[in-house]
Amino acid sequence: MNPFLKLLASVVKEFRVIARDRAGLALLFVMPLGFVTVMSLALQDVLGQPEAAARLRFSIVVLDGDAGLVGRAIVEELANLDFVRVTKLPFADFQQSSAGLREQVRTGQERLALIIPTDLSARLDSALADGGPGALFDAPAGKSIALDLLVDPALRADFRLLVTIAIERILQGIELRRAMTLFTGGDSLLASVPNTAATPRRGGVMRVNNRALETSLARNAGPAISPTSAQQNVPAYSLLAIFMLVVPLSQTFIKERTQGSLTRLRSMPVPGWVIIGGKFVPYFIINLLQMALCLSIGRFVLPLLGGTALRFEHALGGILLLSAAASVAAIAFALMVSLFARTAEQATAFGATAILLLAALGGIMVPRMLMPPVLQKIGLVSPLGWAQDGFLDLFVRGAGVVDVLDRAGALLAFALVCMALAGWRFATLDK
Amino acid sequence: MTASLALVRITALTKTYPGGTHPALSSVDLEIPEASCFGLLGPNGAGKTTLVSILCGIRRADSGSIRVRDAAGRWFECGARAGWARTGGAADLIGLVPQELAFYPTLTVRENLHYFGTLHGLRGARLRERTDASVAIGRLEAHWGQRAEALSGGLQRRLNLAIGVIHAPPLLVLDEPTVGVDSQSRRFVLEELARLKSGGTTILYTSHYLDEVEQLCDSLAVIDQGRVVAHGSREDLLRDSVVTLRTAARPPAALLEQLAAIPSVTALHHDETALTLASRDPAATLAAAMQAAQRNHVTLVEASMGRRSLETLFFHLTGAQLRDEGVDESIP
Repeated sequence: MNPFLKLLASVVKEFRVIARDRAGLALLFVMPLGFVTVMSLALQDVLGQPEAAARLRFSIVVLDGDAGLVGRAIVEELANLDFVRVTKLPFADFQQSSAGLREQVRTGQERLALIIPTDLSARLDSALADGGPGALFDAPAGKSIALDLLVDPALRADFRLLVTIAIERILQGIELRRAMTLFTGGDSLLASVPNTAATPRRGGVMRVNNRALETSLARNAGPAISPTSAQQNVPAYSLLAIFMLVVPLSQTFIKERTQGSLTRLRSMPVPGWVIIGGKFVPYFIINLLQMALCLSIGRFVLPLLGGTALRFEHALGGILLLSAAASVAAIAFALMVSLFARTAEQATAFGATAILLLAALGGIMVPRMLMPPVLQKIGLVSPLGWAQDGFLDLFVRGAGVVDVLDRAGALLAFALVCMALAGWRFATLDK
Repeated sequence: MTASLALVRITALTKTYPGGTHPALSSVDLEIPEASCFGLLGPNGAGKTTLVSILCGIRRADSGSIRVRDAAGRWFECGARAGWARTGGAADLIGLVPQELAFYPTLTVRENLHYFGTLHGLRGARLRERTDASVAIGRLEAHWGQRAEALSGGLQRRLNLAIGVIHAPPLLVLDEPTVGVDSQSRRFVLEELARLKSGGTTILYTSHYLDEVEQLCDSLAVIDQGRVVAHGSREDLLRDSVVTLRTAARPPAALLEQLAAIPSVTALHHDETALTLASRDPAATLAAAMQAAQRNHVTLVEASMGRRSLETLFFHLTGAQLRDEGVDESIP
């Protein structure tokens, strides 16, 4: 008999078993739908307030190609701002480091970077000498100097504006003080005029060239979109639900083991892959259904409740790929836990705790970019984090299928490791 | 087809579990005749379940072999190894009824039978025909659409048996099939097994209920610490009679030596004040034993003779009493 018919029979059987387990169904569907709705609405206002953003601290990498008085002053004053953390990037080749930094921001490894051009101090002095005090209002022709502020498009728009204004003010203050030094014969940048005295102006020599990087990612979706509560929470809690299947799946698998059905199955002419596949296929379909329902909540229900709608029409291919990869990873993890745990209680306790921990580290409950750097680095180990970052790429950076291939690949590699361990464990049951 | 032909041949079967200090099975040689009921006895941990697991493709032997023969006379290797899971091999010749209720409680009787039948490669009319036959064997016609979890304990046991015969296997392996079953259902299971045997099905039966084995099995093997300590037909093994003595105090070593030396005694076992002597001539043995007791000034409080039961045989061979080990809590 064709083993695929046996697989089909196993899939139908598993669907029947799942459909008759009300508690399991509630965990699989009610929990994520409830979380997606409640959390998206609850966090909408909090994430929307500029004051909230002002309390945050973001890391900014500075490449100081000038290394002169002006460059040093910019770095010092940036470091005095209480909402950014400055990391100065050492370099040997400015052009190469500059390109590398752009790539890091483009790929989301860094969220903010400021590139201070070479010879900035000399060029500023030259512009001020040419234009005189008037240069403070209007740079002489051809003497305007741009400092590139590279911004990850996933960074919230209000925070980007906040950082841009802050740097503009620093540049204005430095420019004014440098002008006073030059024109009054002093030699210190830290002259009597405090930087807080700088006032808004229309011109000047130095300016911030603030741009969300026009990357291949951004081009796919047109203008970069700021993440909304729905963009963060819909994929986040869908992923949590997908990975939480460790509870119902391990329960049914361990019950089969302890109640003898697995013994009976293994005495029958049924290949191991049919037994495993009989579990894999139904839960895979359920996972895709969970994701579809959660996305529908984000798209159609949240706006009815006063929330922002989640728009994802441009990213359907990527969503399908990431959802499938996350599901495969989650099922493989659940099978591994089911085979290593001795009792259903053990599997539930370990599986659920592990998933909640990985979810927390992976930025499911709190976006990872808001965490301290150490925790952000630890969070890189979380498969939920890989998937969540992939969804943010899709929703916020406008990424396409190709752009999330690496994250899907990482999830599948994780699944492969889990399946290898599960397979080894399954084989030892024969010994 | 004759009953003397072997359906299962076990040769030098050896198995030690990883980390185990003693082998679970040590050079086991057995033959199970076709169309017979074969009882496999042994105390807890003797190696019965290991043997059944290897026979049913669940575990792998370290060395030796178990082979099962099909109707065409072809022999198939058993044990968990490549090829077991293929249709048309040893797995199709064996039906396992585990001690646990090995089915899906939330599925109905019909759904369970259909599912396991499909896994045995049954389809269409053949699946329907075998499902009907299995339901009849379990006398579950009235519970066809009921969920398995809603059945009584006895009916669940019947379903467990019905699933084991869904593909009409020539060899049915039952591991303690009557544990926790009320007397009515137990009688039903034994009747059905007798019927299956008379229909040509070979049965391998492990049980702690020695009276069941005595009633049902034509031949049997006693296994202890991984070794076969007795193997033969029921008549051969129970041919000896026994003389039982109970002394007022623990008997001295001299008495035990003299009892063992009585010519008609084939075996002696003692436990505190109880003495059991297997004998070909019980009357002569009883007389000689009483004289020996008198010579050694030992007071006898009880002396009897009778046909050897499976229980005394088992006790004699293994030094263990099955019912004392808490293996089967349902035994009254």
